[in-house]
Amino acid sequence: MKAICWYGAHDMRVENVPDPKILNPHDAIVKITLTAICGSDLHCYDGYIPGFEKGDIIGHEFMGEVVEVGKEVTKLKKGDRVVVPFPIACGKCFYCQKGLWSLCDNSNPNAAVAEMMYGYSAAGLYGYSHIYGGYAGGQAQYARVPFADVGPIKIPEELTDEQVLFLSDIFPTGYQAAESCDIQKGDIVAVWGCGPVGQFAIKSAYLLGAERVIAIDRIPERLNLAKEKGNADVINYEQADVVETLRAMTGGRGPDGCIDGVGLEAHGKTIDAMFDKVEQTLRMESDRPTALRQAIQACRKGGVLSIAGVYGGLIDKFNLGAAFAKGLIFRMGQTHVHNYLRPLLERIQHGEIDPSFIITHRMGLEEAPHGYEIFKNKQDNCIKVVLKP
Amino acid sequence: MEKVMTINRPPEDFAQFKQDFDDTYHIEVMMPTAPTGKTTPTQQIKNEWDAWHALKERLIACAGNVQFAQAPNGRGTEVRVSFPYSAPGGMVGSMLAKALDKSPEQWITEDLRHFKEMMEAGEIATIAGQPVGSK
Ligand SMILES: NC(=O)c1ccc[n+]([C@@H]2O[C@H](COP(=O)([O-])OP(=O)(O)OC[C@H]3O[C@@H](n4cnc5c(N)ncnc54)[C@H](O)[C@@H]3O)[C@@H](O)[C@H]2O)c1
Ligand SMILES: [Zn+2]
Ligand SMILES: [Zn+2]
Repeated sequence: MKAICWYGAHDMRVENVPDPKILNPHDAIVKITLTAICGSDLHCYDGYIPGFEKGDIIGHEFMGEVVEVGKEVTKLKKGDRVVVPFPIACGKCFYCQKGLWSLCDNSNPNAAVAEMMYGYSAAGLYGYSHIYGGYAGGQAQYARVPFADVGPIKIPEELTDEQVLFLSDIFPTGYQAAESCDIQKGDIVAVWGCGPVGQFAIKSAYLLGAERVIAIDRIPERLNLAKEKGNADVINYEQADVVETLRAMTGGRGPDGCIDGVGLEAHGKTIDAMFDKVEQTLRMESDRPTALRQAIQACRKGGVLSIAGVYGGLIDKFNLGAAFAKGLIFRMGQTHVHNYLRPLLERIQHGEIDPSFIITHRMGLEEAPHGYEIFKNKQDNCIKVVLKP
Repeated sequence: MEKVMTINRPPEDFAQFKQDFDDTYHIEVMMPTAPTGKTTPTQQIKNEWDAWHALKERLIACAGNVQFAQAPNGRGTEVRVSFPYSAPGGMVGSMLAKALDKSPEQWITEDLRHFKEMMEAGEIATIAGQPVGSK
């Protein structure tokens, strides 16, 4: 089959590889009908996620048709059309049973390595480095899906692939980020980053009852989309002092909830951002937390800082003092996608949201390397690329 | 040395393993051998007993022990394995393990984790045999 493989920073290749096989009794094989490039893949593309090996198949947002099931799979059968959540979860451990699916105890074959880095290991993920298990990903024609009775959700015929694909990650991710803000009547939520995750966080904050959502980015077409489709007020962080603008827009209180939809490659021209760039290049710190610092500074007292953007290692000059002084609540982590599959599918069925609004580019697998390039460099107004294998 | 993992199953589910350990221990502990220095390939572990046997054999080989205790408030069973820091067969054992790039401690941890995965999830997570691009 054809698959997109990682070979190093800015080196993704279309390779011919063997088809995946059933390896465990709860596995299924899915023939992929639609897959996407995620902002998380960009961190790998840029070489900031450790634990990749040459030839690894990347991708974790995918859906398709079940073509084979392992001998202990009971709920799925050949021919079912499914969306696959990006964390791999067993359904039986303490974490899965508490709904903390992305923290599953039993799905990372490299748990020992993750324990060395983080103390404990999180769940295995598709196409996301050997620290998260090294599972072959979904930017391919077929994928092996472990614990097939636990993760994948069946999709009714009347919905198109484009309407449901993002249940695999970014819609639940934006939704969990907003839900974590514990939105109360009258709350104003600020969202850093108007990429796909930010766009879904904006929509979700309104679905959850926010009074107003303010979105922050610098890319005009992304700010436009946040305004037009998301009904957000927007701030271009290159043209305004974000913290002061937010103060003015919130009657001097500060946003009640602040969502970091940017992650470890935040861009910025402030002094701290330039330090970060140098330190990250010299590998003195692994993550660039410009947006995160700003969100901490801007958040109202006792507010929630909800971190959806990915961080991988160490950060420097972290304003923990501000967070402490204001009594902020921190929530973060890989999304517990399984919790949101059914409720968000229902919202799509009821027409409350059509997630396909963020798609700007459609291409075949062969064009994926180009897709990475334009998504990374924000060329050609690229916001979200989907690939049809 | 000690390693402990909580397995999300009630203590009664471990009674048969405890019995089995005690039985084997009495026969074999008199003649401990060096830890074998390899893990049972995950494909060969098809059920709970396979996973248990792999763990048990390693423990016996290094004169180790295992205890099962109820975790608080229905949170499963704490499975605690203990083994002498320098495993019997001492030098040989640890040299073998070193040559294979893992300490006896790491081997035992891996066996214990496989036992947990089998007991909870009914399979052992693996990527061995999945596709990968040309190196
Ligand atoms: N927690 C999870 O489970 C999860 C799931 C999916 C994605 N993510 C992460 O979410 C983040 C966003 O993903 P995406 O797909 O939207 O990526 P993206 O790269 O398309 O979007 C990031 C956006 O942030 C903007 N940005 C950069 N620096 C900024 C700053 N200082 N202030 C405000 N905005 C800034 C960029 O212009 C860009 O529009 C990534 O870190 C990704 O890894 C996390
Ligand atoms: Zn993603
Ligand atoms: Zn689990």
